[in-house]
Amino acid sequence: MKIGLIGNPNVGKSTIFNALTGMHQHTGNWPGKTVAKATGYLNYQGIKYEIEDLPGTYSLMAHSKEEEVTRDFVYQGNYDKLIIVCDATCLERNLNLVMQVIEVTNKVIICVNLLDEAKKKGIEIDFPKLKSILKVPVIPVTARNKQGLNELIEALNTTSQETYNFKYDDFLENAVAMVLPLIKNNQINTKAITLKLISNDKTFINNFNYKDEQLLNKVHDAQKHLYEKGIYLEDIDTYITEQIMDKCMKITNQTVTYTKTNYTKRDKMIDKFLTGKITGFISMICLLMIIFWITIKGANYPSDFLYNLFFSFEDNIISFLNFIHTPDIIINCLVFGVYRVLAWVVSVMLPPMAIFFPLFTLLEDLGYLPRIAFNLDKAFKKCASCGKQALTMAMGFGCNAVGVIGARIIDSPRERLMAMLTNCFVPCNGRFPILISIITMFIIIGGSNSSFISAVLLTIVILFGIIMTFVISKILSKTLLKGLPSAFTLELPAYRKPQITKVIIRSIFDKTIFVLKRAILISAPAGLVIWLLTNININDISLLKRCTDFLDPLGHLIGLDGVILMAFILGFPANEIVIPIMIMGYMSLGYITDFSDLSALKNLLVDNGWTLLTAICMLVFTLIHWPCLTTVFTIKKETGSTKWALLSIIIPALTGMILCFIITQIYYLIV
Amino acid sequence: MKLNDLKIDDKAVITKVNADKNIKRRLLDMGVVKGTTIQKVLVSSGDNMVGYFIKGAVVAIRKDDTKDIEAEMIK
Repeated sequence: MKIGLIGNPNVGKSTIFNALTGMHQHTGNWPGKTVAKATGYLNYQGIKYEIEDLPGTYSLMAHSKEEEVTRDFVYQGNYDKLIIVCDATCLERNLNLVMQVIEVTNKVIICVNLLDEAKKKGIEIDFPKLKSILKVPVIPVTARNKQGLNELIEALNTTSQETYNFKYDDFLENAVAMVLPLIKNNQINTKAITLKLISNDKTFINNFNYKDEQLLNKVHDAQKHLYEKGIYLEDIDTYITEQIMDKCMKITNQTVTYTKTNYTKRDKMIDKFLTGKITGFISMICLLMIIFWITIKGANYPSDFLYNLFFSFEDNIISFLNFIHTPDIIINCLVFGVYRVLAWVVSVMLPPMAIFFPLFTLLEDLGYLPRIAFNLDKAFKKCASCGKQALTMAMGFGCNAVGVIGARIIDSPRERLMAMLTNCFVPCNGRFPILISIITMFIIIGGSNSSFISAVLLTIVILFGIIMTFVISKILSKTLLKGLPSAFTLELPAYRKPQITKVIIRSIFDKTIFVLKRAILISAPAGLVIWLLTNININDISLLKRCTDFLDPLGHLIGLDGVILMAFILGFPANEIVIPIMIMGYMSLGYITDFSDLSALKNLLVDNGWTLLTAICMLVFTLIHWPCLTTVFTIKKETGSTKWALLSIIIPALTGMILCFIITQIYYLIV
Repeated sequence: MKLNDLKIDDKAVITKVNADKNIKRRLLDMGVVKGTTIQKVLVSSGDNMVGYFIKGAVVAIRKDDTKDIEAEMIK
């Protein structure tokens, strides 16, 4: 059986999808989390179900590519059942989509989710009555507790005998009657198709190829009929929606009872604080600082532990390799090149990621992210963009490539491009540890408050990155991406208590696997490459030294040096290998010696000419340089254009270099 | 009266929605049509976005986009 999962954004479709198929679509409490189709499978009582999780939409009048995906899926009719997921706490608005869909087909199950939230708010729904009005099964569900899911699956095997017949007003019904006889379709109701044609839905007409001249003439006549009654072509959608919404209101009044009069009071008070003129910004910065502080402080112990674990295991590996008579040079390469880079990356990268991500996910599930978009919209508007860029920026904190894909939630192509190009100005998880290490080594003098001060400084660095996002966005809006800001509405979801233990465990598990996978796929080969570069000599000088010498002049111009630049260049596949490469470059031994504490690392750097200037420029350049390979590749895929992919490399690279250059000049002027 | 003239916590019924095509679609999605009850609940810094409680959810809309919407206040 083929099943489609549709519904408003942020009603829990992906949660239901995960529960039914056992997959792990990313969920979060903000509209726009799912931007691509996903397919999963379920076996229940001998029947196999193929389930498609579709992007959320508020109505079948699509005005973005993602909404078209959902609309076209519904109108194509190639499914056995559609599950429309609704939010029990705002049923009236959800009914808009429901009404539009049951007009297309009666192969529908209505799934009313978030029942636990509704109960907390004293909202009661008369499900049998709703079913008798809409003529399709209505199943109450609380997806996150897995309640009601069995009933949902069983309902998939029922067949609805009746169809809901929506009667519009006479003008519209007459217009429909003019075109209806010409439409033939076995899968779905022809009246629904007629309405789409009459309302001049261009993408619908294109995607479904309605080109017959006779038909289009009749449609024209119908539109003229409406025009004579005072309804212009571009207003037909509104005309239809007004009538649907009136019906939704009536149905809601008949089926929903509110037993608590002021159930939104708590959320309103929290929001007044989190979105207040001053309190809003202060709370954003404080939250950021707290998350960083917990990450930095919490990561220390696991890092040390993993580090020691890997290095103590090293001797075992060497003994084993000797035992099977491995040539010395291979041992050298495998252990000192590949293994040590792997060990370094895992022990330094994994703990911060495993802490930051769960914290961030908790914030996401709480529903806080759209409030950030709300607070920052004015600033984005000044850059001819919109607040949703704040959401993609937030996603970029985890991984820039994910942030780029997330830009699909932005409707306007111009603003979407802007979000994609500036996404790398916020550091992804791979760059955080670099920033934290540099700050700890060079800026802190030590002492018991060092994690707190590190957190404050890291926040300042990140804020700088965010400010640069605005600056570059503004510049882009005046040059390459000229245009006017597009219309933009944003739903602020109700705060939901996250399932804390579940999120933490799932997040830590996911991140660990992710880091280990990347370490094996990227860091290990990188270790090999560095080892080769250091051990292959041309005229007695290693390849590596030749490269770093070549890059030295440019490096010094921008407050860095050749080794650092080389590390960033070779770190193109993944930022987490930048520091290991840097260390190996300085040691020119082709391997990392034991660096159990940062002060030994600091000595190595200082011995190689590092000053405060180098540290500052390193921070800035880590923040602002070319995006990683995965991100560039993703940009190419999302935009379909090599030109923009190249620009996505050039713009941050130039910006970073210019900034470092300026900082270098100022430093030499002052010092 | 104009929707933008509402004060925080005021409730009103929408009487007229005038807006350009792009904004109108988004407003439609959120339920901003003639006959809907709406309540102003939040204002962002710089007076840029306004949060309204419509049909059970809080929706933020830019003030510029609602300047031609008219509503009648309910006590």
